[in-house]
Amino acid sequence: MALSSAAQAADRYTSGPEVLAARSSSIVTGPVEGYDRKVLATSQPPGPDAFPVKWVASGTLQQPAVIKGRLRGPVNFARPEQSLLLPEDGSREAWELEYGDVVPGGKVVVFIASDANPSAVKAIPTGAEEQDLARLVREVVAIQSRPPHELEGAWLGYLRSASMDQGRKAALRTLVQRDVAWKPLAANLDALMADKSTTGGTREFAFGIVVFALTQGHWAAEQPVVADFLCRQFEREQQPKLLLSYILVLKLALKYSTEQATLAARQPLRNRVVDCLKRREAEASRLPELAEQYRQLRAAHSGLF
Amino acid sequence: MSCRGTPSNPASGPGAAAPCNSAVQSCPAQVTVQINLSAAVACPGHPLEMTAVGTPSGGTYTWTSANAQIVDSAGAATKAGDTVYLRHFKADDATGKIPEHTANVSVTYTHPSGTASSSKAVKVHKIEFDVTDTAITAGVTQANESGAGVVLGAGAIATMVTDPKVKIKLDASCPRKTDCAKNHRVGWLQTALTNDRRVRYTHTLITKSYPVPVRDGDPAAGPSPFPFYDAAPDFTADADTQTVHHEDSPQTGGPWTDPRGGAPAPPPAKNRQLRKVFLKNGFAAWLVVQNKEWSAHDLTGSFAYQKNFDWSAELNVDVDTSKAVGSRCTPASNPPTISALSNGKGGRSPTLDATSGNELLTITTAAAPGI
Repeated sequence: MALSSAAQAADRYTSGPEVLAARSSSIVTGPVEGYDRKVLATSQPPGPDAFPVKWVASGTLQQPAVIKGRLRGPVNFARPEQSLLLPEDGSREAWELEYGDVVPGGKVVVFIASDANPSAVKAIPTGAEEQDLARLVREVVAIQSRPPHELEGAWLGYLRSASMDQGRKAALRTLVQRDVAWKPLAANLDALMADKSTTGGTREFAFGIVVFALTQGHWAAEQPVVADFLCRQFEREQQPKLLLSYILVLKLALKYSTEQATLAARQPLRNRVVDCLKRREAEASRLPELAEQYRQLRAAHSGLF
Repeated sequence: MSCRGTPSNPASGPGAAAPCNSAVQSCPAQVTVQINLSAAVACPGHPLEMTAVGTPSGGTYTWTSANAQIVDSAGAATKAGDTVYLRHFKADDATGKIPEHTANVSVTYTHPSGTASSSKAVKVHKIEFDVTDTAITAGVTQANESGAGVVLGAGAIATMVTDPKVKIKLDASCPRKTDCAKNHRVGWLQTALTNDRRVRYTHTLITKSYPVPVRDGDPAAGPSPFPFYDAAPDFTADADTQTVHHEDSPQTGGPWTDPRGGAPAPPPAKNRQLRKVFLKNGFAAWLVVQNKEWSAHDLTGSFAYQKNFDWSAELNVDVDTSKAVGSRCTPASNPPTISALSNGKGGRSPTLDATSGNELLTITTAAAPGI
């Protein structure tokens, strides 16, 4: 935690609704009744212009629909929330923030850690459409309930078939966490990245999680082909915002490839990353923010550029 | 008839001048004292048990040391007792090394028959550290827009991230290598030097402030060990290497709509709309090894400063809420400014207050001229 974000940037590659779903013995959803908000802190100075910056939202699901488990009957919840004006304090995971705050009459998904202790719950607003958390969790739980030998195939299939970005991200996180082999993942990733309907958010996430996994030691024997995949995506990308993201992530790959103890072993990875960065330099450097990234690369890796 | 005991006078005390008249009295006993160490070499920061043995028994001991601390078993300063502990820890702020030190310790034994003194030079062994992979990777501060508002913060990677590796190298003379290594942890300290975070709505200014300089990181209660910014792993053995991750992404933001109740409502449409967000933070960071036992009684003096650097993040954006979410903020990103990594402590000192900046943050709202 800092005077900044409580979460680390890589947390999004390890934390998501599928992790919470797997940990929960029961999951239910439904409309919030008896909504209440207890304000814990307000802006200064006190008075008519002060507004809440920290509060606890609470309520009851009187007749919740069951997504997982056998829990029946009303479920109470209390959820710490805060204004966007405050830096996150770590009580909520980064992915939860996409679903906003609980609102009176809105729906929530409630994750219950243990049926023996149903008061230990985490409630998250469902959102709607692309942000429909209840639908996402239903799909995730359906996959997680499959026999172990079917799981990898099911997640690989979901990577392509999921209708929501969050579903594809959950699939990627799970596959990396399961230490999926590169070859089957690459086949699906290549198709996903080439699909014109794939959103920029998913492409950025997929690119980032591949580098994250690489730097965590996954696919150590296949680093050159993983680098080739990354370079293909980097050289194909046309959106400046995504190009900037890719360069930032490639900087981490480059840092990983120049660690002293493994300098020789990671040379193929390093060479490929440097080569593809160089190939796009002239074109990319027309944009000031990308030119600045290349300036930093040259300063940090003067022997390579 | 001869004198009983050793036929010589003590060096001082009432017996010193007494003639050894064997015909009328016993000769005074010789008063001696010696210092026994529990180990030949002391470890930095770790108390070394020292026992004084005076003869004949029944006297009292007074210990002194000009360049080390003498403490009792509870760690309190003392000068008395037959068993005391010597401790010393002083790192070189310029290099981060813990140099070898020779502690001079003396004891005086006072007995009714006289006094005796003894001195010893006690070696406190050195510890050195290898720091490698010191690259600091710069991300950006970028405007992350959502349906609720905008947060200026990390992009695809943290705004600043580094993963140096630190290896502990104990001196060959260390008598308790594993325990000595485990008595040291490595982590980052960070102090916020400057802060400017403002959110401007059409008729409202919201300021987020805390006093500077201020310690940055987790509350004293954790989860990180106080006063570290983040995790601070212990070394596990001599020659152990720990990777010390440090990343930060200064953050601020606000909802698209002015939360101040008194702000004029639309029309015009621009009323109550977010118009500008300002973020500027400056930091100093130190990669340190901490002697854990020493930190219990001298937090400030418990660090061996390996590296330091200054850095800052800044992004000031204009906001146009008439545009689609995703393209409302200009500029969209800005890279941080990161100084070169320097050896040792550098010219600054970290703020080590128990309360961290996040705990002191206040949000102040004020009406402002329309823009």
